[in-house]
Amino acid sequence: MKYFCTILLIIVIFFLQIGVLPNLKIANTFPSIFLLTLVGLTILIGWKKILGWIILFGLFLDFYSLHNVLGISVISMLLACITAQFLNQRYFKKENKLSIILIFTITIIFYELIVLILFKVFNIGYNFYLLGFVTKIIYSLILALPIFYIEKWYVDKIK
Amino acid sequence: MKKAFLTILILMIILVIINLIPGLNKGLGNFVYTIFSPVERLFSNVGKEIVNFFQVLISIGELNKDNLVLKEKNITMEAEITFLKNIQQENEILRRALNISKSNNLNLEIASIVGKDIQGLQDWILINKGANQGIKIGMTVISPEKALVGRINEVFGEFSKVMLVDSKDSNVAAILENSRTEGLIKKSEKGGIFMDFIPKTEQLQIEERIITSGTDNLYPKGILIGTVKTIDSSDNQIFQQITIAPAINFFKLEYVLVIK
Repeated sequence: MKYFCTILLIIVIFFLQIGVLPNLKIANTFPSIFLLTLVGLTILIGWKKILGWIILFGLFLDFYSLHNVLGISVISMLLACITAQFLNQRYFKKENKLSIILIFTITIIFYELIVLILFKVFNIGYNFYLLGFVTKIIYSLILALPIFYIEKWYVDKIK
Repeated sequence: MKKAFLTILILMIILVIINLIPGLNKGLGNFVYTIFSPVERLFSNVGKEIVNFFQVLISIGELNKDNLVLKEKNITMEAEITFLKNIQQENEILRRALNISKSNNLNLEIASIVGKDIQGLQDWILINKGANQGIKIGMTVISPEKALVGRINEVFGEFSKVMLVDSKDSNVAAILENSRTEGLIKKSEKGGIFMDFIPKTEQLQIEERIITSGTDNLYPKGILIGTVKTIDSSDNQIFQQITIAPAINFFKLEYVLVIK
């Protein structure tokens, strides 16, 4: 049951990221389901237990990027998850909707900034648009809570 | 705690090694694309169908479908007209000047699209032809209707990445077909493409075709890019700016042609 749920969840995540969201762009941007999934799982079970997920999603994103530096997404996602856990343990210990949204908001902004910095460091072309940046965060937050509660159901199932 | 950090350390070392050894990154990329491309294509096609299904439901049924078919036909015809017009113009000039005829034979490689940008950071597509088929960085990629798609940005053994014409990093030297006004085409913040720095003295027309000028030495001359959608010549601006309706819908592209 555990493996079935895990494989099913991974297939659904990949399908949403590859097949659905690129067709539903707003202001030429769409959320990263990979990131939302990882942040949600970090809040629920901690980043160390999902290190394999972070490497899998990060490497996939790195291969499917226009740059040829392997590891940028892995490092960005890893740092984002560590930040999410730090916020969860230090400042937002109580699990309520507001605290979850705040963790997601801060983590997503942090992740986007890390990507931006790493792209600049490795001299990879990526123009920053404020409108796209803000839209992406709002768009991501709309999906964050449903994803979190689906993951909560998944974590309860595999326990 | 130690185990997790040890894993990260090993991962970092592996990543550094992969990035430092020449060819290893590309070899791995080729391997990953070989495995994941069919899956990505399947997901992409199913997702597209699902989204299209809901779009058709939301829109006014059959009318929308007919409209899409007509639009596609229109694009094909416009691209064809532009291509023929350009060949004709070129031929006429050459005939007059040198009294010779010139054929415009292009060496084309047909490729299908097997992947695309899934992060939304950069606009690119992955095609199933690479170095083994003679594809090189910088080659121009066009649609089967001979409209501009982009240029080859990275080449693997069996795959290549194509930077789309509406990418943030793409600058295309273009010319308006009738008024012969030249300019650079760039991506706008809202996602479309636009042409800037057009003197206000130039008389522009809506739906005028825009083609590549070839002055950037990146793209061959005369490939259709799109048509003029809106003209912004407000008083507070020194130049005119036009937004462009691209000739192709990149989401619906399935096959492309690489000019070798």
